[in-house]
Amino acid sequence: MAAKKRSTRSGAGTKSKRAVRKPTKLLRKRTITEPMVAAPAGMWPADPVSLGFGWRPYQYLPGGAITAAAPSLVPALGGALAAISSDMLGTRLSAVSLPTIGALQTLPIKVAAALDPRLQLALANHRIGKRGMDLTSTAGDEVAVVARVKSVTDWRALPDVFPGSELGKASDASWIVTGRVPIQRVEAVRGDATVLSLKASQPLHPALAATIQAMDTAPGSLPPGTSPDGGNGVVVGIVDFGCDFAHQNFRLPNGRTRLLALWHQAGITRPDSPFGYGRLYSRDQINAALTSPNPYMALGYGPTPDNAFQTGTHGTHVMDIAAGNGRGSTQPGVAPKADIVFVEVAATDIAWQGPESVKNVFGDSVQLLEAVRFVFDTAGDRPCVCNISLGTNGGPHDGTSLVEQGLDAIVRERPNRAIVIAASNSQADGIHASGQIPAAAVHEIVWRQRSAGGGEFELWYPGARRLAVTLVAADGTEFGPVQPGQNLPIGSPGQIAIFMTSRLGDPNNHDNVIGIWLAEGLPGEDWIVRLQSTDGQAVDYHAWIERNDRAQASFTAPVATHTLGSISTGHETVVVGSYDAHKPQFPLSTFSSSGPTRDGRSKPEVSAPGHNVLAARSRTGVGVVRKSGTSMAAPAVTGLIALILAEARRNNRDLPIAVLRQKLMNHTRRNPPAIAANGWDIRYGHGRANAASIGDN
Amino acid sequence: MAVDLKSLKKLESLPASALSEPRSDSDRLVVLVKLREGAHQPSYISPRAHMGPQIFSAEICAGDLQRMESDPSIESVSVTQRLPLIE
Repeated sequence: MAAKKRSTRSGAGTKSKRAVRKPTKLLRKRTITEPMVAAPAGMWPADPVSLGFGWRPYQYLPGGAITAAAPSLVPALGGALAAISSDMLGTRLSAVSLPTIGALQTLPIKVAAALDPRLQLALANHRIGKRGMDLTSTAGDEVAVVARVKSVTDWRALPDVFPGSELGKASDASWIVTGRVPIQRVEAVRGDATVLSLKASQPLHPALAATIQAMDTAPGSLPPGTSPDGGNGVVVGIVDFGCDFAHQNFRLPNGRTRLLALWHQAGITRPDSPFGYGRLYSRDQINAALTSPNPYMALGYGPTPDNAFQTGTHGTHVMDIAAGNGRGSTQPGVAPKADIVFVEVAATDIAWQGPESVKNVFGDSVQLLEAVRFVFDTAGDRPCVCNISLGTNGGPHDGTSLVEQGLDAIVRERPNRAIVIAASNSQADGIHASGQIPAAAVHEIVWRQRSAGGGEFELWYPGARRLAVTLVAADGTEFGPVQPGQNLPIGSPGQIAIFMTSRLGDPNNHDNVIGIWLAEGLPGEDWIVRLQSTDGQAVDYHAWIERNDRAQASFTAPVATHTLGSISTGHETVVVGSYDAHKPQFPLSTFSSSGPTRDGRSKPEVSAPGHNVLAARSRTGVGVVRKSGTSMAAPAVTGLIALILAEARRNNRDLPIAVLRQKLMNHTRRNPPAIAANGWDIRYGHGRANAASIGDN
Repeated sequence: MAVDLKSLKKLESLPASALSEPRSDSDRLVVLVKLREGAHQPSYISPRAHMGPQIFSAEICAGDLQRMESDPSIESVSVTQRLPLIE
């Protein structure tokens, strides 16, 4: 019946594309011509002695007495030194295990053939889900390049390019330069008019972090009459993974710790464990450990040592941006005199569910809330701002989830509190679609799997409307329709391969939600979600594909709005997008997610430098590492709020969250970005967060 | 006895994968609970942490979800969900 009806489709054109797809061909012959590829400079961790100051960092592997941060990484580390090999690089092939040559087939991966071969391979590897190693000079999802360009200025201004060095001028007056480019942006960069040639892998030189300059938070740049004293008297809470309490940036001039407390949620429970689980380390215990030759061993906790997928822990880097004092790295963070509380989050070991993560680094919604509760309880009456970098793609996106309501409730309890959350990094992933389902026609959304990785689809629509949903496989097989309020499991005996639900009336917002789960391994790239109104009314909808870091599925016709993370749509939290402070026009980071919320509120509130930020590298004592992400932007705003709270405290003024948010949003920097007065941009928010908000205005 | 999560109207919407299999009523779950305005905390739940006057966390048996379903003091319940790192 549905075939007779007029059809609208959010993936227009896809059907015809599928119709003309050529059948997979067997390879008739194989040519083995793998070139020799030199490992890029910086492939191996820096020589500890060369890190400066003659200081030798702690380099302890986890032992029986140490609980390593993010313990799920430790098994991978067990053989890490032996296992690290160049076939982990994005520009190399990995070993395969196939029973026969005849099993080899042409893979349906499209890569521009005009690219440098190694870049082609990097792209192909990326598209099948292989992630390269995190190297000293490049992250696992980017590639080091050498380019010939018409203009160095234009090259440096290209979005996504992190410029390296200028190697010189060619005979035709073009320039030879180096840089780093996210793998998925290689084709776009190569296609720019200024780029004459682009090849993989050259030595690179790091640039200085520009966060402090861009936000005007250096002491000499603060608003006249203000003196927030580096956030002195304020508590900065970091809810993250991997706290290097021994790094010099988190120690006082006398060598003692700046941490008030460290709660490791996956640590062994003691009688004094917060909320009955994990291991709490007090300031005194940390100080005692710091006097030991091996402070990690002495404390029984340490940040996960570097491995094939990590160069420096995330939490140490984030903590440094917000509150590092530069004692080791010489580059202070935004609030260098704040006290610090760190919670290493973990997921409960019972009954959790949710998206997989490449690095298996995750918390869960309840333990996240308990972490935040712990931070503010520890701060007591002191002003406190808490930074969070967790989230996924699904959820109602209207601030009604209980975890978001819980975060709002904690902030509203008393003045001088704030919670800052990264917007999310899913802008380029094609994970959101929206539109209107006609009153009397079928509407189709095309959902594309990657590498048979399966996925999870979620569609929200008003509670007063009714939709039926059918899932159509690539071969035309239809599953459903599933009527409102029903569900449909599909599979073989003992195994569910597809599960469809159509729920009416979520208890928090009374909206309806359709969920479809495709198990990993199901064949076919494109699946069609066919929707039809059953009450004769047009239906507005928003749909998301759940996060899957190993093989992210996407919509073929995504809508590049509403891509904020699952807990980044609350009413009182401050959500932060990312831009590149190294470029004159402060371009947005391509990954930085966009608002608004599903209920139409303006989030993210502000943006901050989150691109190529150099900050503390764990287990080096004084070293730094470069990372990019909205989770590098959020702590910059966390530090800025610490300065705002410190200045208010100096003036004996309380700041309820509504006032604090308004100060932050009212005093952003614009032009760039081009935002009208009192305007708002779906990704920059109200503009670039700035120290002007510290003033008593 | 099995608990069909799909049948619970007070349960915050879960991903489809979490709903595909029923839970044993003895399964342990970590949840967030939201009370109705002015309601008192039920005696059969031991809170772990309070997030405000109406929201608290708790570890319960899946069977308690059915009791909460008919408890007028409970507005909604959310089973904990995994949250990966935003890098």
